[in-house]
Parts: sequence; structure tokens; C-alpha cells
Amino acid sequence: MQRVLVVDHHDSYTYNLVHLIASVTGQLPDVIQHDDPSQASRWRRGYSHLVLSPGPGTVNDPDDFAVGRAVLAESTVPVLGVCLGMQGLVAEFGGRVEVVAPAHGEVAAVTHTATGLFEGLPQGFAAVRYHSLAAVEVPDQLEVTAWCNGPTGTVTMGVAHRSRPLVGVQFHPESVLSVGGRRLIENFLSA
Amino acid sequence: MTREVSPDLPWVDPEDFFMAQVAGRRRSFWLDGEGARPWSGTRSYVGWLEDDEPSLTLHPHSGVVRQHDAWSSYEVGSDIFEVLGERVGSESSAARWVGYLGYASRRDLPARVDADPGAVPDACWLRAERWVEFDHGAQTVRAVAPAGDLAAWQETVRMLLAFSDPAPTLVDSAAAQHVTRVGKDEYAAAFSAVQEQLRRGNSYETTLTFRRGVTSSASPLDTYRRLRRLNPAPYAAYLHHLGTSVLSSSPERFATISADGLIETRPIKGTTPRASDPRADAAAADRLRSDEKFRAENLIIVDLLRNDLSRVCEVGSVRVTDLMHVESYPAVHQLVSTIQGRLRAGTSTLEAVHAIFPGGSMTGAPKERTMQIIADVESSPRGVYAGALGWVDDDGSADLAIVIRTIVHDGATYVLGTGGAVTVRSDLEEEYAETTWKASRLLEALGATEPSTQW
Repeated sequence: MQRVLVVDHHDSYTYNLVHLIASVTGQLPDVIQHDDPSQASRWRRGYSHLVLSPGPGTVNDPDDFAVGRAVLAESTVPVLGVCLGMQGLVAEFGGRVEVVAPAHGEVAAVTHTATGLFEGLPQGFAAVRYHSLAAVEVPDQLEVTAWCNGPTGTVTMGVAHRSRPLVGVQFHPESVLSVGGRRLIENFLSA
Repeated sequence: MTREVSPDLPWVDPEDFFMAQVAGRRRSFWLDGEGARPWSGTRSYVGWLEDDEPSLTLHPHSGVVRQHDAWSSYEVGSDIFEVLGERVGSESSAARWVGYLGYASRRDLPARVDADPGAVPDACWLRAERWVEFDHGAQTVRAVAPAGDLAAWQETVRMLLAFSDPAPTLVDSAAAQHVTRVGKDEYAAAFSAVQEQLRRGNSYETTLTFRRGVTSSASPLDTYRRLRRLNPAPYAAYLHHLGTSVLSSSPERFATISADGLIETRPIKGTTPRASDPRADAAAADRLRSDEKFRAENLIIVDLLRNDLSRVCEVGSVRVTDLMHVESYPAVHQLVSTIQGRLRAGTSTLEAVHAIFPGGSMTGAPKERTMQIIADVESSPRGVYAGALGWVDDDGSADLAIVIRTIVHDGATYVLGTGGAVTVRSDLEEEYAETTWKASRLLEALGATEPSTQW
């Protein structure tokens, strides 16, 4: 039985992700706020999968990204980071997340390794981007699993840890104009 | 208790009826169906409260909710959603609550409130048991009342209709004066502060707005009569409560909720001005449909509204039934999307409205952080503007507009809000110009002229 916990970063797309997950598992995941001190150890309590939601701000500021660092450092169960959540994964392992050319509500064509989260997804699938910060340097422990073209070169759209079950996507699989979001979540939940 | 509707009564124009029988009453409403679209109702609802019937207000500065009769009031709480929620459907009645929730009605979210003790209420609701329905399509009038009261009410309405002479001819409004407005420099500074927040990842889109104050010797009701001619709109309305008047020509649906729990929202994001030349006008509509800037503006809000509905709807029930459709109004073309869902069992209408309030098209996304940005960069409280206006019935059904293209009169001064969505693709001059297209018909109704918009 999959028991999923979603860590919300006060975002306005989290419940789209919550419904997408529920459409796969058949039940609503639990949701906590990332900065709720009363819930700071909730993620340790027997969940099969953890999800770090999108959100405003930067992973370099603990006010914007609080419990996520501990989750990424210590979790033994699979973790999916979306947007801010993926940036947290990159930052946790020593990569750099910086302001880039913003893409708010842009539909990107995503190329990928066809492994892990992206198994079975077509090359160049449409995915919606809502971000102005991005992983500009990805550490060695992580593999870049997806990317798209930006105005000044390639933008990282997906990463996976090489030895631990930690994955992330920069785009929003839960957006109404993203393709393959359900398959991506199925891939994550079968890990 | 159930509601009863009379047989068809002879047609009288609701404007004539309102002027003859309702104007001058202390608490009254006219939800105006004249400017209906195929997707909105074609009916006008006209009503008023007798002296002992209750209404509610939320006082901006103190945060106190008061219950009123015509001449006195007392404190009943501090959360308008809770107070209204306790009253809707709780009594054995078939009443309709008509009113508005101002932008700052949810006190748990960041929003500026008016510090002036005499400011217009941040929320106001009138409980009507009896009203008059005018079907503009069928040209019929019906009296509506609780079961058992209909016979008497029907006779009253029949009499009032018979004595409703044509309304006095409208004369041109006297020249009005702007008393407050946000200058271009101030707008430019706020715009640039928003751009910085967008780049830093604190917002993907921010609805940046400001208020204008106008003085005019014209009465609120005459001003509304002019507005409904100049800018017919599906959510046109005139609401009057103890010295406050709200004059709406809103085209935007915040939410409809059916008694069996279907919820629909219809956010507008993306605006181009109308042109007098038909070819240029069609080109403006095409640009709205295809330009990436407008599509992104709309998409951001569609995903936000899907999120907000998902908080209270059944898994799998939230659907976008119409994505980015162009709808044209006298002054502007608008890009509109429709999102529907099925409320989870046990979710009340007021709980649903609370969950999605204020409307995402008036905040931007993500909502909470972006509302903080708005509170920081806008120089005046939004008041009624950017909230919701309409009705909620005892059976749980509701129809609420977003408060835009709306003039508020506090008994002395007219105030109107205007603004638009700012994204990283927005152009300062175009955004400022957009606020003037949106205000143009409202200013015309007031007889105020817009100073030059050149930089």
C-alpha cells in the first residue's frame, strides 16, 4: 500500500499535484506545510513516498524551504521534488541554483534519458515551466535526466541521485498543459 | 421551508420598477440581467429589506462583523465566512443572501484594510425572503416568496408594478473631478517592484491594481443607469446598504455553485482594447488568442484555479472545460477559461467559497506570497474591489462575480479600482494603458475624463 506525504511550500499548484497522485493511488495523500514546526518529523512516520512541492522563493532561504533539506539528507524512501523541490535536491548535494531567464507559464519541449521518471514518455513531450531560478550547476552525485532549450542554452528539467531514491523535475507535471504527468507519477510511485 | 414563484405578471422594465418603487429604500439590490451572455442568467433580481430584516457587514479596521436592521446593529462575530455560513441554510427558510465579500474578507491572508473608521464595509450581505424576478428574454415578471407568503407578496408586487411609471430621462452627468489617482510614476515604481519579485521567484504573475477617487454631484443610481447603458455586463448589479452603493459592470464569474455541489469558475486573464475599425478589432482579438504573453497569463491562473477547486473537490472531478476563449465587451476583448469540479460530500457552499477566495485572477500566483507582494506595493486598500459579489441561497446554490469594472460610493466619493496581471513579459506602457481601457466606461458613466496616458 502506497502512503504518500506531500510537503507543501505554500504554493498554489500543490493541490493539482495532490489530485494527480490521488488519481494514481486511489487515495488523497497527506499534506503538511514545510514550515509547520508541529509537523517537522511527520515525514519519518511510515510513508512509502515523499513529495516536495513547488513554491515561491529560493531553497537557499530556510523560510522558503524548511523541512525539505532534512528529508533529502536522510530519507530512505523515494522522494520526488517538483520545481522548488528539485532545486532543493540540487542544492542539498552541492549544486548551484540561481536566477536565470524567467519562464512563467511557458510550454517547453522536454528531452530525457527515458529512464526512471521518464520511462515511457515521448521525447520532446510538452511540459509547463513556472520558474525564474534553475539548477545552473548539477553536482556529481546527481544525473541530469531531462532538459530543454532556454534562451541562453540548455536548462535542466530533471535530475536523479545516482545511488539514493531521490528524483526531481523542474517543470510542473500537474499543469493542465503538461503531457505525461500521470505516467511520470506512476513511474515515481512504482519506484 | 420552500420558496414559491407567482405566475407571470405583466412586463415592466426593471429600471422603471427600481426607480419608482425601490430607489430611496435603505437596503436594496438589483442583480441586473439585461447584459446577459449565453453562459450567464438572463434574469434581473430586484429586492429590498423591510426595517426588521437582517443584513451583515464586516468593518474593515476593527474586523468586527455586525448584524443590522434598518436602524441599529450589534456585533455577531469576526469571520464573515463563518457568520454567513452559520446563517445560510441553517434556518428553516428559503432566503437568498445578496451582497459582496471585499478583497480583504479572509483575515488569515495578507491584505491591506482601510484604517478610516467610516470606510465602506469590507463585506455586506442582505437577507432577502421576498424579491421580484424579471426575465429579460421572455419579458415576464414573477414574485418570489416563502411558501405561504406568496399570495400577499404577489398582490403587493402586482400593485407596485402597476404604479411604476417610466423612469425619468437620464440627463448627462455633471462634470466630475478626480480627487485621487495613481500617477504614472507611482505605477511605474510598483510595476518595477513587482518585476523584481517575479525575477526572484516569489511570484509567477501578480495582479497589480490601484484605485481612483472621483467626486460627482450625480446620484449613485443615476450613475448606475448610465453605466449599464455604457458597459452592459453579465454581472451588472446595483447594491445599496445604509449609505454605501456598489455599481457593478463585471464580466467575470468568480463561482457558481449548484445545490447538488457542482462548482464552476470562469477566470478572465488577458485583455486587448477594442478598435472601431472591424479589421483592426478582429486582429486585436486574434492577438489575444495567440500571443504567448496572454496565453501564459491565462495558463498561470487556470492552474491556480484548478488548485483552489482541488482543495474542496472530489479527486478526478476538476476539469478545464474551456481553455482560453475570447469574449468581447464594449471596451475590451478578454481571454476567458472555464474550470469545473464536484464539491466533496459535506463541503458547504461557504466553505467552498472560503477555500477559493479571493479569486485567483485578482491575486496572481502563488496566491499567498503574491498577496503579500500586493499588500506591499499597492498604495491603497482594495476594499470591495477584487472581491466577490452576488447571491447565496439557503439551498446552497450561489452565483458570484469577481468585483471588477465596479464603482463604489461611500456616500460622498466614488472609488473605482483598475489594474491587470503583470508577468515578466509585461510591458510597462501597455499595462498602464490597459488600466485606462478597463476604466474608460466607468469614468464615462461618472462624467470624468481620463488625463493623457502618454508617458
